[in-house]
Amino acid sequence: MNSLRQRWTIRAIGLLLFTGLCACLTGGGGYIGGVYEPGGYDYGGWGGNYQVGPPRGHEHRPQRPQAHAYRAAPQTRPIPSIPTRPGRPPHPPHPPRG
Amino acid sequence: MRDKCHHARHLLSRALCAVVLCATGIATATAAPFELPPLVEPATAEHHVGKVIWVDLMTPDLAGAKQFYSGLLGWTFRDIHVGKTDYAIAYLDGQPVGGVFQRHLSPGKQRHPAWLTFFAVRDVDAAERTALAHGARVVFGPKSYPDRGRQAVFADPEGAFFAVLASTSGDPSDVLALPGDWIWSALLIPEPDKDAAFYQNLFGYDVFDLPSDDGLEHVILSSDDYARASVNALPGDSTRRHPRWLNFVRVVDTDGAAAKVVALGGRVLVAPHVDRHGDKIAVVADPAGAVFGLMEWSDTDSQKEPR
Repeated sequence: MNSLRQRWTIRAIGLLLFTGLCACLTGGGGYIGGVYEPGGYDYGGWGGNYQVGPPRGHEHRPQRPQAHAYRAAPQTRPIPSIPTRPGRPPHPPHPPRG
Repeated sequence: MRDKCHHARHLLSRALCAVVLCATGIATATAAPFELPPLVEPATAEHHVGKVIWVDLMTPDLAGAKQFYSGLLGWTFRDIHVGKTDYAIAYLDGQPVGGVFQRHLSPGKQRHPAWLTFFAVRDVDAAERTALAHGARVVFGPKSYPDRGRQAVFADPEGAFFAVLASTSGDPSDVLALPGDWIWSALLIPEPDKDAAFYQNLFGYDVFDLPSDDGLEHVILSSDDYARASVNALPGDSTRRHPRWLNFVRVVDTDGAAAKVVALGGRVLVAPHVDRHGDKIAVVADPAGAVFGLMEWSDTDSQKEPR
């Protein structure tokens, strides 16, 4: 009777160890997929003059410098644009490897 | 005595079985890890901290997403199935441009599919410490993928989700995005001032305040003398607003692309209109509801390259 209990104890410990280790190794809490964001967002407030795009470069900075939580770049520096150096030329799509 | 010996041997064999079972479990778990391909092939030594270098879509309908984005932008896909994870890498002209995860979305949940924006860093763990010190929250802690690099997901102090990635193959070069590739990212947020400071502390950006026609605050985040993203005060007075990153893909014709979005089952959320750079943008949603932007960029009058 005693040995039967011991056997089951060992089996239970083994199973616990197994599931615990598997959970640690496969779960881990790291990123394995994106995030679903809160729903119900409304874009209706975008008026015609609401602008979010990049500047072309060399736009004038506002003339009245204000105090900000961030450290603003010096007024003398022009506002930069996005990278515009051409990359590789486009060519007809081909299937990716794999 | 003989019985006792036999009993001890029996117990030992059981214990060995348990150990073998554990070892098998470890081997199984480690034999099929989720692998992500390199960001840049062939690898480069380029690093551009603060640059948006990757985006991942989380959607309940992988097949639908593939159909939509291939129809709209000409992307092709390579499937990766590991365990219960279904993932596809999107390619434009043979180069990877993003990833798409399939994950079940419970019908009752007030959540919807979204593109997650990845910024380049050199050290994910240092970025985590800085982000936490400045009010961010960890959504997924740092995790390494041998070919891809180390990455982590955070919510900024206002709650907008974003990710950081230290790529083992370097960062993509600073060149003009091809039509069909990601070209711009904008953060929509109640208080641009505060969040611009957060991202400046995290990525070391130069921050430029912009002239504004709408009375709202807009700033440009810059690194390597290039504009990397904008931070924009949320427009309108709707209460159904929450902070979020919005990524724009370059298109040749915003009107035509927006019409195609509708034809493919998506929606137009902000109609095409001319933006600051003189070309048109629009905001759209794919059939599952993931929001992204369309942006024209005519390269005839581009700025002179800084270097």
